Amino acid sequence: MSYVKPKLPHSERFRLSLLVALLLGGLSATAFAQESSANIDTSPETEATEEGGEDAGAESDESEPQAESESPAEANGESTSPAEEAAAIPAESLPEATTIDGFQDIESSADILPIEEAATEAVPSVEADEAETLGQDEDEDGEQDEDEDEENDAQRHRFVFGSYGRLVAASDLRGSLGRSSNVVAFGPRVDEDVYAEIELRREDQITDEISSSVVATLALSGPLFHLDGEFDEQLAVRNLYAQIRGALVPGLSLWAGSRMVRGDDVYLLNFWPLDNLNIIGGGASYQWEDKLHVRLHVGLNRPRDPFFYQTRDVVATRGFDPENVTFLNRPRVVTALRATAYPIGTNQDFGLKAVFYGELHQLSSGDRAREDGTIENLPSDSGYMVGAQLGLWANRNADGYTQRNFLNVFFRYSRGLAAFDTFDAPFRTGTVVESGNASELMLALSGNFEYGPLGIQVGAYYRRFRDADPNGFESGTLREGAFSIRPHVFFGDYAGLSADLSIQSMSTSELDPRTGERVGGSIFKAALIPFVSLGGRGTYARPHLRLIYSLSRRNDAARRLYPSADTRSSQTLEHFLGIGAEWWFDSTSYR
Amino acid sequence: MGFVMTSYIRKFTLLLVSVAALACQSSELDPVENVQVETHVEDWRNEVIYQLLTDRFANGSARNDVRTSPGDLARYQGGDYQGVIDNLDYLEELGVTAIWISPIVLNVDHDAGVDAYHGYWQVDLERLNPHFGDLATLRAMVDACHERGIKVIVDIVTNHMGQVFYYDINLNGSPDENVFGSGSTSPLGRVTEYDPDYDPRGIQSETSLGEAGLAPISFFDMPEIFRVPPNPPIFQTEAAYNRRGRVTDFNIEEQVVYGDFPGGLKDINTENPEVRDELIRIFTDWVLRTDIDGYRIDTIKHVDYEFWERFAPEVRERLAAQGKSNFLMFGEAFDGNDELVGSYTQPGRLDSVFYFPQKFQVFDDVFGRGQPTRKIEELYNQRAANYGSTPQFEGIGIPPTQALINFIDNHDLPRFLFEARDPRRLRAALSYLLLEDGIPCIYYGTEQDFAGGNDPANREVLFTTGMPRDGETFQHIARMTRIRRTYRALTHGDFQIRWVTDRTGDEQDAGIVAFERTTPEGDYALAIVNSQGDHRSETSASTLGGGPMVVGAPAGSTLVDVLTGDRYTVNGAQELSVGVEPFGAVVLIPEADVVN
Repeated sequence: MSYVKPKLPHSERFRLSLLVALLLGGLSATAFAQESSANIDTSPETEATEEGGEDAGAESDESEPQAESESPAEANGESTSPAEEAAAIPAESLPEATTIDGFQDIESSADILPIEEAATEAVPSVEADEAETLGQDEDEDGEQDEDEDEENDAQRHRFVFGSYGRLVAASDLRGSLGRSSNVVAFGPRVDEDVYAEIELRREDQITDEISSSVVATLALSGPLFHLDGEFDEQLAVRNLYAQIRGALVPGLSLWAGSRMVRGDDVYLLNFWPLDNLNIIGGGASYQWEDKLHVRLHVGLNRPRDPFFYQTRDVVATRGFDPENVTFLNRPRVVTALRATAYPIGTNQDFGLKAVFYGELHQLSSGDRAREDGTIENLPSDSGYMVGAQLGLWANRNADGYTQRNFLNVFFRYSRGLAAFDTFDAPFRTGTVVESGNASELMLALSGNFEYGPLGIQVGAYYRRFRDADPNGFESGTLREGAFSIRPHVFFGDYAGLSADLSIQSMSTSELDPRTGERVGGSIFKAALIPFVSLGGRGTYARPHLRLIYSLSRRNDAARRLYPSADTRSSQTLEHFLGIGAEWWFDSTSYR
Repeated sequence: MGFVMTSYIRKFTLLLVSVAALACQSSELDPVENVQVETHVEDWRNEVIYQLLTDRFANGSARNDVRTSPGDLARYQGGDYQGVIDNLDYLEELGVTAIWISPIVLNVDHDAGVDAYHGYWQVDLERLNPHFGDLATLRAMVDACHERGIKVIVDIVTNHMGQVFYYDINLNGSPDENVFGSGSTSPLGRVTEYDPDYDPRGIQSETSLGEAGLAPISFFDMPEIFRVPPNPPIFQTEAAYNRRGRVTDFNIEEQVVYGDFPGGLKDINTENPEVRDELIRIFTDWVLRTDIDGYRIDTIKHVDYEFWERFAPEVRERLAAQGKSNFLMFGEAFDGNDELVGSYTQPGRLDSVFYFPQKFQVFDDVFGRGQPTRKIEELYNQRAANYGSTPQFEGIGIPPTQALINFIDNHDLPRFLFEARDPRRLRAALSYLLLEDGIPCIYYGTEQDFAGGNDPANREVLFTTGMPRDGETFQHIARMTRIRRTYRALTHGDFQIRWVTDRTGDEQDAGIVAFERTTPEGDYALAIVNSQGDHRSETSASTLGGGPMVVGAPAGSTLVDVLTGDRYTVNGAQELSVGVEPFGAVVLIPEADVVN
């Protein structure tokens, strides 16, 4: 592994473990300890991973060897889809998640190692260290052999607990809770909300070539019980699938179940500009040495929207009460193909990757009932997406850290049904029931550059969306974009200061009747984020404890986006002062 | 490796450049983002207006099909501005040169089981009704119309707001359907706080002990149906309303002017200068934002005259300052009293009115019920006395007497065919409508022989018919509008009746009305319509001891019926006898002027 963590004294590592456990609200100190014990070992799986092998079960995209365990967090089910945003249609409400650019694409099981393990990698004697830490001070050789066998067995068959999360408690300095000021679909995340994932995973190394994993990820979003006193946090199953690797052909991985499928993200804007599927289905991936990685996924969605699904009460065949009959039940079938080429391989400190990606969306025809009882035919529909990504990375070891530098640029074009998120419906009602006119164009960029205690992240995107309505005006046609830059400096190994500067703007093809101007708006945002990085130096070291102050400045048009009764309609400046935390470890989704 | 990288980078750069070029394409909004207000009308007499209910004409956009209920005529159906854009060919083929669309501003969406698809329940005068589309689409529609020479008239309301508040008569803070008194001093009675009966003192609060002074008003807060305190803010004050309850007797002028319109539509205090100024500002701004060409103004007889004498001149003046002249403002005084209707066209008031007296006395009585055509002459003879005879200052440049908005059908009355039944009778009325003087106005669906009864049955959905253009009435209108456009006498000519009759039976001239249209420039047309369908009638009473019709065309001149090509020669006594088929029409043009 090229990503190196600082060597920490055992006592510090133990404190880290404890702190993370506390951050999770005592979610499972036991699980964490279990995980820690698992981390002691350098399993064959891990080593294989380091050499570019298959990963331990993450949705896994291809690997980017430089990206390691602490890297990217990934968001879960980014349910805030472009289409949803554009069409202003309530989504199924999967909360937004977090990401970390450039590092999603790692197929290495090492990617999901917890921070303690990453530290281990930096220190060859880690096993002994860990043993000491856990008080496993064996004296006799025979006992040691037995213990090693047990240890090896534990490595080959283990449970893993992973997590991603972010929490913040913030004020607007006007007596209310702080809130996001974003007006674009993928706004700068400095004033983001609460979201967390808890992942439990079983991993079995059957042979040196064959392994399997079963992944279950629960996600929850706010408001939390401790905020509103309501015992009803929103929960979603974001992963629930099984995966096997190498069972049929070396290098071939197969999965089935329900999962997030993603590529690289733009961390500062918290979104995945190229591939970002949430599907139930299955897929396969195959890797040719370290040059090419191909993945194919086929899955479906069927939101509870009358565009896809409708039930009706009908006269029962017997008795008095009506029977509820499923009248429309047509899923959208998504086929996604992704090929990632590494022209100079994956095991270099300097590398290049080119991603080509495509999706095909298909929807069968169906009938649904109108309010007046008449039947409306919904024709079959389809759409496609094509996209590409070019990534460059260059890593450098210095002062015991890996300084990670990368730049990813993305292009994506969608047409028809594929212009809408898989949880989104092109139309609720109306005479136009095909999505053929809809399109979306997306350009995005993410990068990270580090030098010594300094670092800088950038993220940007431009998006043009048009919905399927023949009328090109109104809010269904929009352009938007955001640019965010976040420099940071570390003071020592565990504390630092970030500044986040961003601008975002959106413009629809709707005209404000009060002004005659386009409906849209721009926001400039500046933030200062002093932080404690319990994972040491590095842009993507986690966990973080943060103090966040952000000041957003709206232009007149942005204020007009809000109803006059909303205080934002009269506020040019909005404050956000909060304390928060972010972590990720051992998660298949956030690596 | 370096070569490979360079190749990748070059290809990717090319891709990015291509994509950036795509991203920089001009916006669809560009054509409508900045409106240049212009005068698009040369002479309103050239125009043929088509009144359409925006919700019913055509549905072009799915996005705004929210809370629609297809087939239920009291509910939204989905029509919108995009639908108009998509069907301009239809209007052009029909011969329409101006459209009158429903009120555009935000309405209380739903009340008492009925939707505001008609647009007369306004709540926010500065927002558009999203059911019909946004400002960009409205502008695009206006632009598209102008490109085809079609003008756009918007319906507005200055008399009332929608059901935006209730009178808290029993002071309990909630709207009640019934309030009952008790005891010897407070007789039992049924009162609805939504729409109480007129009280000249203002609606009084009342408790079990008796009256308790003026009832406070309380605005609703139901944002899900836009039933909220109205905008602009002046309309959130008590001073903006007369607060006297609903009109119960339309023959009492005070009630008509100060009473709420039935249905709980709250009467605006147009005598309040602040309110009046806001209405002037708002309705001037809408013209400047959309470049529309005229206003049809609702319920004008429920508004004081002084308001019109302020409103109309100020709107004209402000628009003229921005380069918009010939802006038509005509009002709806739903009344058969010719003097009353005409009063709104007196100097300083409106350019024109919706000609209800003609609707009742000519189209309903003569063409619909077969009464004598003499009624046409009787009504016409009142015109000079009852209507303004000079153009309004900075108005449309035409005296109201020549710019009356003639119509057979509208959205407030059962369709002509609901009673008349026979489409031939309708086509005879259409012939008269399109040949007489004034500005003809065709209610949408007339061309499709719609025959709906009272509201909302007379507000049928047009777009579900497929909008065929081969029907006999559609083709008849298209033919008559073509003729009207072709011959200037039919648009600009003075109107002189040459033959009407009291006879409605089997007599020689039963049902005949003949009139000449002549201009000082020498344009001439002679139109004859047979309003009855039993037999062919003539412009002659020779069998009754009379003679043929005397005309203004010179003796010996040859006139050609441009509908059939038949030729007629005026005799030496300037007499002309023309036979007209049942419910038929003849349009005679001097042979030299006939356009082939």
